Amino acid sequence: MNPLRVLSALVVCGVATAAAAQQKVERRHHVTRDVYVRVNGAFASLRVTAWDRDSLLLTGDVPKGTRVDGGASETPSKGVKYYLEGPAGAAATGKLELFVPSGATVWAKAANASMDVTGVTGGLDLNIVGGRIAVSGTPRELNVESMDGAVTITGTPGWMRVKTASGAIVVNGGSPDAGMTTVSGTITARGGDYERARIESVTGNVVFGGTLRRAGSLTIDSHSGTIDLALPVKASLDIEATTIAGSILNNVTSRRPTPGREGRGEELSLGLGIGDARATLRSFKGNIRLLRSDAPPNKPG
Amino acid sequence: MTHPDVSHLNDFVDARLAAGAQREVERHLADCASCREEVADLRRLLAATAALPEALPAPEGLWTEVRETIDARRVVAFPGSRARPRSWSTRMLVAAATVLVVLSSGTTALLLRDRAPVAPPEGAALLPAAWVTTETGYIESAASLQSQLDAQRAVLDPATVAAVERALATVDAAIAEARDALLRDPANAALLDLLASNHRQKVDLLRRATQLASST
Repeated sequence: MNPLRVLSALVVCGVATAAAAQQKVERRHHVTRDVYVRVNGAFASLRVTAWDRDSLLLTGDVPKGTRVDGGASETPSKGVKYYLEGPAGAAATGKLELFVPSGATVWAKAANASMDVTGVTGGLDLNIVGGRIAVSGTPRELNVESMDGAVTITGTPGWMRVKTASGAIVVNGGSPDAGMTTVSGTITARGGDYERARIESVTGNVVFGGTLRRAGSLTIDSHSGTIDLALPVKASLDIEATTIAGSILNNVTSRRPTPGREGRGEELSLGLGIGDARATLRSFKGNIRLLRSDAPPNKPG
Repeated sequence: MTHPDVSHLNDFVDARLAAGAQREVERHLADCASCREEVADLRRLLAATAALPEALPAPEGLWTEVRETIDARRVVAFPGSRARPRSWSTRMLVAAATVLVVLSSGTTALLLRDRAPVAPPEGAALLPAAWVTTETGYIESAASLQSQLDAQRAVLDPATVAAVERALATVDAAIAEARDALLRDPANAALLDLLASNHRQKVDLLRRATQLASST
């Protein structure tokens, strides 16, 4: 027999077997506009999309034998929860899509998964170990926790806390109240307005290119990561930068840093404009750079 | 939110609240000085209780004395008799109170038995007292969470355990380095803030890891 035909037959069989090994999920519920939705367990991807309806739809494919427990207990329901338990020993490969009213609060947790959330204006509480999380929109409240997974936020959450161990954090937008924390991942906040922002890293590099609102405050602490503060030309804020062992580069004004306590590290105090906001930058042994927004971005390392 | 009650703050200090509730309290603390003070007090209490001995020895001869006292005062009431129990003497009350104190301390010691005793931070005498209290609180919280995590380790995916341990090793190295520097320059406010940030990272990392374990 022609080897190509054998190979094709095997591929077709493989595809058919894989398809047969999947089961469809489809759950619909009449829910309130501010429904609380909880999805937890064995899945590899979850796409959450807000829609302008008072109903919820969970759909997708999961491995055969996966138990999908939970649901809603009343109509219209104020709370819906699902728990997915995969077949013993099988990898979590299920792909889910969840449509919720835009005002919903969604809580989702998985081990290694990609989560994409779009348009939710209620609350989001997302938790993974590995994989990635991407959120677009303006949730009222956003809490993201990840170990190794990368996190990308595009939008302006009203309140935002993002924490990773080694996953990179990227925020394209801003927030009145933002907290970003990582051990060894990088943190990049590009553009957007911030009223109160606190950023902490242990070894990860930090790039902050947002704008502080009037009377706003920004604190960035890092043990050994580089801190880059990219400032727009018309920035108006007071800056206090301190390193214990690192150096400070000021590309914004002509003021030079002074040696730190006991001659180690450096310090720089700077007032820009009328100084109606405040930035405190501290690093143990990483370098701090004050840059113009149009300067080349920080090179990691 | 309204002021959390003391038991709620207790659970917060012990990191026993659900993630949402824990965050709610954190947000409240950011704006409420009195609750922050309450939490600081609880952390000080936690540090102090951890320093308690594992067991308190009963005063010598206590049990003999208690038994003799009870035997001497034993009243055997027959059915239908109207024997009136004698009132307890002061000496007996003192003995009973001592028994209660010992039992209570023993129970406390039993409850705390599994928690690793936390020694005062190295070089504590050189550092500002307020900082030592704060740092002891962090160390206590981390030790408590670490023991919870150790107990739950088997249920976690090995890759997750490896990720947590890598991150913890990174934070521990940073804490050690910042602390060494602080001992050389105890009045350096920036160093205190950086070290506090590292401690917070460690406690938070352990909290997240224990939550992963408990929900697995």
